[in-house]
Amino acid sequence: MAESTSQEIIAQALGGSNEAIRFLVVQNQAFAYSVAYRFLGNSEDAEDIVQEAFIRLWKNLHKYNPEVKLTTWLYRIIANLCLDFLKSAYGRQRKNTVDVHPAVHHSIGSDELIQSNELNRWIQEAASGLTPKQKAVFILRDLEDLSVEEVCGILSMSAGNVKSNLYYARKQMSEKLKKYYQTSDKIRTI
Amino acid sequence: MNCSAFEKRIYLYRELTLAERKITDDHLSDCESCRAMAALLVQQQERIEKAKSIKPVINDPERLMRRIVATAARKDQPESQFDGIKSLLDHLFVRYAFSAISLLLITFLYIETHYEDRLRGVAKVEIRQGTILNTSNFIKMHLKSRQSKEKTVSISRYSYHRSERSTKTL
Ligand SMILES: [Zn+2]
Repeated sequence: MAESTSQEIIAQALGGSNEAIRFLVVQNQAFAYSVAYRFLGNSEDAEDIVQEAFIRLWKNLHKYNPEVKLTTWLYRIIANLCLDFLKSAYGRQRKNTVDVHPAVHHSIGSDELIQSNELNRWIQEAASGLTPKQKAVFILRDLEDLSVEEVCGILSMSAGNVKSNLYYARKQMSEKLKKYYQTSDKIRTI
Repeated sequence: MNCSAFEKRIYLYRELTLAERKITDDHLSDCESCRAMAALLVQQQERIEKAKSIKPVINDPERLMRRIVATAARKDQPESQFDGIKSLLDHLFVRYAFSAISLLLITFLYIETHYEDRLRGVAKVEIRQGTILNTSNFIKMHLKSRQSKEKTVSISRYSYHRSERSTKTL
């Protein structure tokens, strides 16, 4: 969505237009869900976080700074909600409830899809061993492809802190992936 | 710089400046073990790249959208100061603090009532008879009992105040 269009829609949503609200949800909910799912690994919790994120977006829309991209703002809300969730007792209890058959968007053949799906699920499981902060930087930098500066802004962390967490996250993921490939023949062809 | 110092740089290769990359590349061309580690990391990053191209999607986007819009419509008022206070009261620490203060007040009132009664040898029955759930009366009683501490040695202050109060409230 072009940023200028986004500004107009935000202005309309602030004016109470239900159509504008609906439009903003349609435009952003897929991306919001994808980020939340990567954090939490199951659709039920991810949907709850997305719903709460949009409610917070609404409540604070009057504080919206047009110089910040709406997606950056949503990233910030979702990442913080997910971090709080993961740190909570309930979140720690839900840590291993990764969906067995996640719904995914794909453009590849079915065999490759099954293998990639399996790898994806495995990455999800491996990432559940990271601390919430390590997980957040890994998702935002390596899976969402955001710049270090963007990650710093979203998580309110210094560049040094982001890089340090990223190093430990990559190291741990790398060690777990190595073990995974040593024990699994299924996706060796990927 | 030794190999352990380069390990961090290898993991953070994407984040290095050009000058830092040059130094790291120079080390990699000389060091076989670091080169092996870098090769493995590149391979695994390629796998992550492949896996991340598959985006998780919502099972029923229409249902989630209806859920969000319905909740947003109910809560479309901007956050007020009252919400701030409410969320503050929701905080676990504040809840515990209020509980602790309440408990302290109850303990204080209990000690205050019973300790003085024991000193004066007033029977509990009399206290019950004289106590009415009216805080202004309680405070008046309390102040007067303080003022007349010296004079009421042989008289039960509760029966005295009760008779005084009953004339006022009637
Ligand atoms: Zn080396």
